[in-house]
Amino acid sequence: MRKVRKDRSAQALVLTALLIALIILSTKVYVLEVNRVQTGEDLLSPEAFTRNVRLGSRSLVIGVLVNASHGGNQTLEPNVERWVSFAKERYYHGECSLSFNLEEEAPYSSGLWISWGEDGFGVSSAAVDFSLTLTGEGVEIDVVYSINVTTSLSVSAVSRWWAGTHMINVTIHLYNEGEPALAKNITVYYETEDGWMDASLLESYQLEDFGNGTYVASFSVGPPRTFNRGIMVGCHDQRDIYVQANTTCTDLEWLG
Amino acid sequence: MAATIVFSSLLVSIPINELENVYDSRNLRSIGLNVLVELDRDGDLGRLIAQRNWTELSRRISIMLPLGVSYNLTVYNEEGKEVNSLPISGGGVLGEDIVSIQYLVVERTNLRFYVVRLQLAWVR
Repeated sequence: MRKVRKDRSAQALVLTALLIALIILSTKVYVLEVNRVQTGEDLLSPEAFTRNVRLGSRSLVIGVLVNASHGGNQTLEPNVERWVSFAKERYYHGECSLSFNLEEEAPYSSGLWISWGEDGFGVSSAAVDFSLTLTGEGVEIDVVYSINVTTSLSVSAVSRWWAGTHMINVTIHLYNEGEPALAKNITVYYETEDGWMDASLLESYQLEDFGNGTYVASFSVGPPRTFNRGIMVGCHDQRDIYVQANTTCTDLEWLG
Repeated sequence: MAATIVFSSLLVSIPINELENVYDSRNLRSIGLNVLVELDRDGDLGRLIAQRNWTELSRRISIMLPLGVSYNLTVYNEEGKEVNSLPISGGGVLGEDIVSIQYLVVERTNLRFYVVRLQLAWVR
């Protein structure tokens, strides 16, 4: 009688152990399956979507500025409106509200400021403020971000008259958002009685790149002696934004 | 015997844990998103799409993804139509646990918008 009872309790123990083992394994499999379902979705998390929209907004503003600085007819307002609508329709976690304001404070107009002056300073700039709100299940993201894309150029030139020739040095500084930036290409023009001439066509032309956004163009131009010669520099930055600046040479006597 | 059964079930579940860590889909999602962001940072992603340069796009993605990850990329235009005429894929056939990322792209030259869907999986 005692043996039978002992056997039964042993069986019960084994059955309980099997049950526990089954629970452990099925829990593990369930956790794996739940993870698989969550990660199999197409959707970006609200944080990643925010990052995506910010980067897209920046690309759009750069694109419009590239076009406008090349004399194109693209403006910010219709393009940003298209972008806002495109992005909003592709947020699936809940509600997405994306609005914008073009910079209107002088010298900006409709978010753009393009000024290629005679004072040795040129600027191509675009500025837009965005406001993004994402809401959904347990999510509330409110982000205000400004996109300001500015390419600027400062130019100064010195001309030395020596042995019947003008030795001209043009110093060029390029900036992106106020920080020194590298150029994709630089073209230097000098003024003559016949108009603007491309300095790179001269045999003496040399362009030195200091690797930090500073460039020095050197070339010599023959007679007649010209005072306050006009110099024009056109430049594309690495983003393809065009900027231009004009200045006049400071005339120096040769001291060598 | 009961103790052996429970202990065995724990032993069996440990390798599952390791598999879970190694093939963590969330890591894959993060890797994929970083690849797209890096490609998009200087506008290269939009430029390659505008040029329909699928070979170069595929080459860049292959370089940026870690070894052992297979991928498949599909590009859709603003109307939702598939743009890539050739398959943009690499690393072999996608496995079972596929991670899919949808990413919005602004192409800077013609100011067109695209949706890029990147599917990733660990090669087992």
